[in-house]
Amino acid sequence: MNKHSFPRIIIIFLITFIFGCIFGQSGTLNAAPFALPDPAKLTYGPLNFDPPQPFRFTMPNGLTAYVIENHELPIVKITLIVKSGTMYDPHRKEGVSELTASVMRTGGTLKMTPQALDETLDYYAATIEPGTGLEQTQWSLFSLKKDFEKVLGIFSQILQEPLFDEGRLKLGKDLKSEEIRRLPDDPQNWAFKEFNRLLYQGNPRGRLPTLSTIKNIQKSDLVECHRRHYAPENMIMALSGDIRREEAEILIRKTFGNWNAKGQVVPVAAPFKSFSPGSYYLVKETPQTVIVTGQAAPKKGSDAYYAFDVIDFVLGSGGFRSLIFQEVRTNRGLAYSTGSFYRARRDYGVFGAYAMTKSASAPTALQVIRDIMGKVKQDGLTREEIDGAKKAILNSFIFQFDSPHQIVTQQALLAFDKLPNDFLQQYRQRIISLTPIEISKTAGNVLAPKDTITLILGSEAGYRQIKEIYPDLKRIMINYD
Amino acid sequence: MTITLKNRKDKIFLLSFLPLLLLLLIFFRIPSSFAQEGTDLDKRVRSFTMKNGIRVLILERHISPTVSFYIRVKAGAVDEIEGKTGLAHLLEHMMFKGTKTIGATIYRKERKYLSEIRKTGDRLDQERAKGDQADKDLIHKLKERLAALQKSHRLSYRSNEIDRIYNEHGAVRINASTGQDMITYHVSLPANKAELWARIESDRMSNPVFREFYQERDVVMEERRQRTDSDPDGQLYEKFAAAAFMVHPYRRPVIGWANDISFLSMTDMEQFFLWTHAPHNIVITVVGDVETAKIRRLIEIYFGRIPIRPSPARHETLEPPQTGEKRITVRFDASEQLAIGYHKPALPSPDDYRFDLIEAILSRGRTSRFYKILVETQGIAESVSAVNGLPGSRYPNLFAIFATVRNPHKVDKLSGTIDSMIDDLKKTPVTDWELRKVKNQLQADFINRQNSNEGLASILSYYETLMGDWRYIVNYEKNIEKITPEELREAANRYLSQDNRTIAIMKKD
Repeated sequence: MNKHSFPRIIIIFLITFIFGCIFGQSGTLNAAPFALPDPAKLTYGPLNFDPPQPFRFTMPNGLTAYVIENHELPIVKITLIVKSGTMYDPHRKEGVSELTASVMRTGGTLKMTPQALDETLDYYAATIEPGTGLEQTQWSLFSLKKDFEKVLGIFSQILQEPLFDEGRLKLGKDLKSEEIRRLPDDPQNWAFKEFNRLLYQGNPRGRLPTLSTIKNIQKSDLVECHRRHYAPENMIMALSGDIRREEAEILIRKTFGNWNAKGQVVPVAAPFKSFSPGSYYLVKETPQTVIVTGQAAPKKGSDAYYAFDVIDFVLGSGGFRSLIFQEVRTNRGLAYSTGSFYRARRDYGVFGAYAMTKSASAPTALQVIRDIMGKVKQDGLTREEIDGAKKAILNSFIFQFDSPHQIVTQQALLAFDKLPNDFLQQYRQRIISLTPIEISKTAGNVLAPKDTITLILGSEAGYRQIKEIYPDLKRIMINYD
Repeated sequence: MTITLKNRKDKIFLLSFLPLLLLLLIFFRIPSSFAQEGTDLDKRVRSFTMKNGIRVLILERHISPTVSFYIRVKAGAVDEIEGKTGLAHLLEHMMFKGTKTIGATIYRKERKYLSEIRKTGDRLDQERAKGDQADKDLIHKLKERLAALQKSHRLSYRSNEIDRIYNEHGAVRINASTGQDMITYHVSLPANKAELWARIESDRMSNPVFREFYQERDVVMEERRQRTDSDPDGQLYEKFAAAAFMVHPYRRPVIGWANDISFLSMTDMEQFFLWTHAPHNIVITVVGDVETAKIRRLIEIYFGRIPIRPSPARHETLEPPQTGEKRITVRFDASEQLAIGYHKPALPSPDDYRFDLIEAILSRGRTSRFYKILVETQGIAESVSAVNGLPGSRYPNLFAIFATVRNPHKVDKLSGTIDSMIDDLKKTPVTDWELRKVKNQLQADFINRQNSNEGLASILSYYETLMGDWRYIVNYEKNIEKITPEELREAANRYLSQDNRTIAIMKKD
């Protein structure tokens, strides 16, 4: 048994309380008419917090669990992170990870029929649901305290001995097929899906399910996917709720201790080993054009990661003042949704920017975004921008510890990514110590206008308009058959 | 800045990398809630009314040193006048543009620009309103003048200051939403920053400055293109609500009709602000790591300054009883789907509680009737959901059903099967097992919602605003618990009739 707790995180923010008259000297305030103070001159008391620490244990079969007690409400929650995701789908079987997870849930177990399982969970008002992502599948369990032991037992059956009922498999395939058919109905969703396909070119992450890959999936594929991925060593559990730690540990050991399956996960290479940039246009007759442009970015925890997080914040993810939002939306009124995103993973990262704008202003919006990125690449960020971003990131840090379940899930996710337990503390320190030179250097190195993928979805007329400005723009046709 | 559109439950789309945008915060009427043994909500909430009429709810919750603030204003799209639709929502956007002391460098000087911008914008809109008869040269000149004024004005203020100040102090979930019934402003802060919230919000509730008005009007036009004109669900819902109500303002979209939005003026906005954001319409709710006495004093000091303002006497335009089925077709480049709505009373009618249960029996979870029959057994639907209480809850509203068809089936077959299921609800009482199951689910919802500062602040402030009493949620369990299968059958018979319904069908061709 391996027990240790993660280092205490004690967060102390600014301490001074000069302008304390609101609480301290109210008598004088009540006497005189109250004038609004300058927000910049308000001062604040210290913010002390010693977040609850997850208790961690690893069982002989490899399953690691983090537990935090929380007796506020009579409920228990579990998040289970499993090394299974769409990037592991074999070629021509795209969709199998998602179907495996969903039919594990719906297709019954050796002890329960599909219907009995659904009815039991609904009657207890409990939920057990998977969410399949690119690189991991997260299962969420919610149960009232009084039913927890029974619900955990059902979860264990779902994970260890799913039946994959053929009827429910057919239902799952039919629903997925309908979802694929409906994808082009929703311009934003469609554009982002296709952007990802282009960005992850030549990598399994860029393959999307189609009607034929779904048709191609049989029960044996689900059994195989389950065998490879659903083994204790491939999962990390986070539990919080109205249950004593010792009791939770006993229950988890009792429920999963005899599970001795061995997985066989085939590693997937990181993307961007070879990469051809380009601009693409997808035609859909819609009054608003969707623009997404993006590129490879630093991986999580790398030296450039911290500086680039600040760069992304200032460019387009840090609220109304971020450069893209301020210019495209506030100053020019060109879009409601616009900004940037940076998703850093263990072995690579992705950065991009987006805007949704009426067809006529699409060329302008794209140009404005490119100009902003070009300027930041060349000049870095101003001291004011860096200070603002640092303050925002550091002051909102406390919200990483907003609830016990968030704390316990966060530790599980760090462990899943093989990042150190004190990664968040380190992150905070690294943000504090970033210098303008480091940020300029990172902006210059990472932002690569020539190495981007741009996907534009819009009308036929819009295509002709943009094509005139960007002759290299390639029109793509998508077929989900 | 989102619109509170009551829309399909299963379509809450949340593109995680578009943080500001897309929380199309569907606020299904927060149907369920209970006083659960052990949660003690009824004993822990502190409430008081200030001299100017602002109502305040405070709930201490010491899980982490954070606090959530909700300010709700009991005025929304339903309170707009004809021709000015979208005003409430545009106002909500404009409330982020700063105040006389936030964002201003020297407000006295700035006022001259604002006044010129208003005059020029009004003249431009007057000319544009002439349509084909408009003087194109004049429009061109006025546009240039407006742009020049905006450029000069830009040098005399700091843009987006409210958001910057909040962000730099560690605020998260800085947002606002507009629905038919109310406008909501919310933010979460580290617990030691409560005064910053009081400083900013009390200021913008009394001294907002409508900078960048015309740019923001364009932003809202883009929002409309995104949510309504490009989105099949948005399209269907807008046309469905417009067909279901003949005269009541619930027939109008929250975001406004495109043509109305494009003519909204700064003067309209100021007038609407003054009466809607009067203190007696405001409910403040604070949930988190605060001390009640201290936060109360803070609120009294900052918000107590806001003067009492009158609201004009309003009367409700009553929707006459529907006397026959209405059917509309919506042509759009998307797969087939349909919406069905039945008129019904709003809270505090006991029938509203009954429809909460009917909603859950029909469409909550895999064992619900709609899912079992339409999705699982017959395979004719991709998704089906029932929603009680659209488009709002202040006035009589709709019990609605939304369904997407599964290939190769046709919408008529789906609609027919739904009909027969509604008939069954009218003929046969629901089983005790079904009823117990959905009561358990609503009870668990209520407990789970208390799991966050935001969840609690949202639900408490919602009912305080809507009903004038947050205790609605505490009494909900009793009201739900006593409902019998026979009462559900009777409610179904009272309202779920063919003559009382509207059907909207989306078709490609």
